[in-house]
Amino acid sequence: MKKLKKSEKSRGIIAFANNNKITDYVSIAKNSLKIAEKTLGLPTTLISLDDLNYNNTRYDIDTEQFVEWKNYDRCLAYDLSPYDETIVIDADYLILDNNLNKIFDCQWDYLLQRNNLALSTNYPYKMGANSLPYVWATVFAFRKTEKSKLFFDLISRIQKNYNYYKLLFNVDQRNFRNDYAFAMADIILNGYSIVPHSIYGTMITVDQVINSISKKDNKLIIKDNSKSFVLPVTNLHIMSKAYLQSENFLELVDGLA
Amino acid sequence: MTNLDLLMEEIRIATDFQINKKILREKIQTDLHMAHHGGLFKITPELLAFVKTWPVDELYLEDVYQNPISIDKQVFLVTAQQHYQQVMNRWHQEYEEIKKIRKI
Repeated sequence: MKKLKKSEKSRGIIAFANNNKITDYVSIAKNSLKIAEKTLGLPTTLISLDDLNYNNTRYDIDTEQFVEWKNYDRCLAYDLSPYDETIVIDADYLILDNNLNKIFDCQWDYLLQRNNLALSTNYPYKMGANSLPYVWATVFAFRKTEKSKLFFDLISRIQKNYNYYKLLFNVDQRNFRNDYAFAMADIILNGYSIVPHSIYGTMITVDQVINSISKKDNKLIIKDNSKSFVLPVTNLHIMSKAYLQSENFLELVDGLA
Repeated sequence: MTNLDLLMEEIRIATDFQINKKILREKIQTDLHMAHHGGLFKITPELLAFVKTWPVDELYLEDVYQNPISIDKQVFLVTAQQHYQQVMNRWHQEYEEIKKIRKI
């Protein structure tokens, strides 16, 4: 058995993944974690809990329809993480630069991603027209502290009583969204106020159907059906699950990891 | 590959300079953050100027997570200046590169 260093025992990355009929989230998460491990030099853990009795749906940009989505296990991150300091990523979040390593040098209990910039859409920043700003649960970090424990317990409570909290916060969407549950818990825990604590920087979201991503001369070239984007090597949130199951993505993973 | 295929490929890889520029700027704004002495600071010209003109060698600065961090003026200044220069140089270099491939 590989002997781990002290820091490796207490700091790591986890991802949750549960397959549905059309998407192999587990394979996608394995590849994303492989990239993350290489980039940040941290151990990784994949958590798959297929026995959760909840059903949810999300809009799939590849098939242009609502598909089954098993995303109810995020509130268990505190209990299930084997690390003292954990970065949690969605299966579709690619860690391509090492900026996240800097957060470990600072003082916080948990950090959420508040800013997002998408390539083709301007997303609303609030949970509803008369609501409060939400966060992106695509990537977040926590330490095993009392405040973090309270935070995750509160998310679990919000999840169980989502219909109540949805009305309380004037949420427009009917479906449960981790992004909203995290935002509500954060707002409540901070005395019904919004604190600026955040994973610093802006999350870049590739929110359209894409055909390829390649790395060339320290740049990422992302091609969709109509144009290409030339980006610096930065962390990416890829919404096209079809791309994440394509041969091109596997080639990208092999090249990076 | 026929001429039409080549032409189609050329059109397909046409890129939007304004989006590339915007994303590059976001990445640089992120990279300008520097961890120092248990705090995280976004290194800006204002911060550099403030620290440089501070008359005492030790001071407390508020980091991005609203914590007061004890700073040794000289150590912070040298590290922060190096970090700022490195990131800004990279921004300039990468900006020039995306300008060359400007299509729209």
